[in-house]
Amino acid sequence: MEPKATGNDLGSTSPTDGQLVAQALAGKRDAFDKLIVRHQRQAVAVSYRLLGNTNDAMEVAQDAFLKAFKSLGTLQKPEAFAGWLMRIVSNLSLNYRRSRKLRTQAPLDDVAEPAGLDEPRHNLEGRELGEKLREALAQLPEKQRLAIVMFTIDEMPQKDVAAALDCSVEAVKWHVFQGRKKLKELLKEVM
Amino acid sequence: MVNSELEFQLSQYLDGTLPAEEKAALEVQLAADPEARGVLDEYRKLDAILKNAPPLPSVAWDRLATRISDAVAADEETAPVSILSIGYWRLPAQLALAASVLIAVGLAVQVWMKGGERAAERPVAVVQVVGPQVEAAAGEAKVAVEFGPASPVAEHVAASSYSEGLVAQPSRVIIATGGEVAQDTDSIY
Repeated sequence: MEPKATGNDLGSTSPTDGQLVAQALAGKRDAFDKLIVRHQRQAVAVSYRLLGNTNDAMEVAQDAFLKAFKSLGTLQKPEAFAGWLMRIVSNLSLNYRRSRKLRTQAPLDDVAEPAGLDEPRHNLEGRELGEKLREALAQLPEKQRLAIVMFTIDEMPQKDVAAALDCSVEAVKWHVFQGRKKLKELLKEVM
Repeated sequence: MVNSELEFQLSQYLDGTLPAEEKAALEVQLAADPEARGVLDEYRKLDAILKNAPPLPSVAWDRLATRISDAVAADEETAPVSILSIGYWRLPAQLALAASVLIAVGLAVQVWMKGGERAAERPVAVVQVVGPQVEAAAGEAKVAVEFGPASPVAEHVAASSYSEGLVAQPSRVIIATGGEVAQDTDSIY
């Protein structure tokens, strides 16, 4: 199970995101590797909610880490690395949706493990519900969709969602509320 | 019907982000308002669907991390060498900007130096502009015309408080035949 801790908790012995960013900027490659391990699951999860495809989500996550590494020097608040990365992930995911094309790079098929027969995604009802949910999410305005995905589904802290959406925590609460209101209407048949 | 403000409070109550005072007040209201409880139940059902959405398929996270790390390393190797550790992508742009500034300064110095050398050779044109001359009338005066208020009025106006705003002084115009008509000026002479 991937640890969700960002290392920013008080009393944690592992370096914080801000410290790892500073080390990476100083040339320590293993510092960025630690950031990859720490945030890859969340990056894939956010992208998966928007794309509905594991392989696409992993490719977008890889592209997002690449872009983050190249732009690391522009990050004004190193301790906000997680939220900044999620914003890159969400933007790349939405761009990917808009222009789905065959990619020349090798697919990451060997990274996605085969699912067991009893896993929820092989359940017809679960698949149909998942599809209805993705369709409903796709109809939301971007910020409402991202707020619902990051906060409600993936349970990111509201302050991290606020950093990703470049808005206040109060605005995140509002986006979540508006998203819920619309989804309630769009999914009333399955509720 | 539950108003939008109450619905927003219910959403925050569900997330556990409502301030303590507002939470206590809302719980009192929920106890007495079945419609508000109904909306809260709908939000709970929706959240159950969202949180029970198909989970992320299994991924070999160790292998993915290695793949991403290798991709970053490969990209770093192909990037231009830089003595700066921050933002490789900015260095080419900075170099290009510096080069542009140097070229511009060099050109400006050249132009300035060549301009000094050519100063003595530069032709100078002097142009004198002469305005039209007023020609005096050639013949004798034929008639004198005076303009202005009649004497009794002039005396009244002079004593009036509005005297400054009225033409109290008679104007005198002499009309005479003469040569060519001159351009209008302040004086006929």
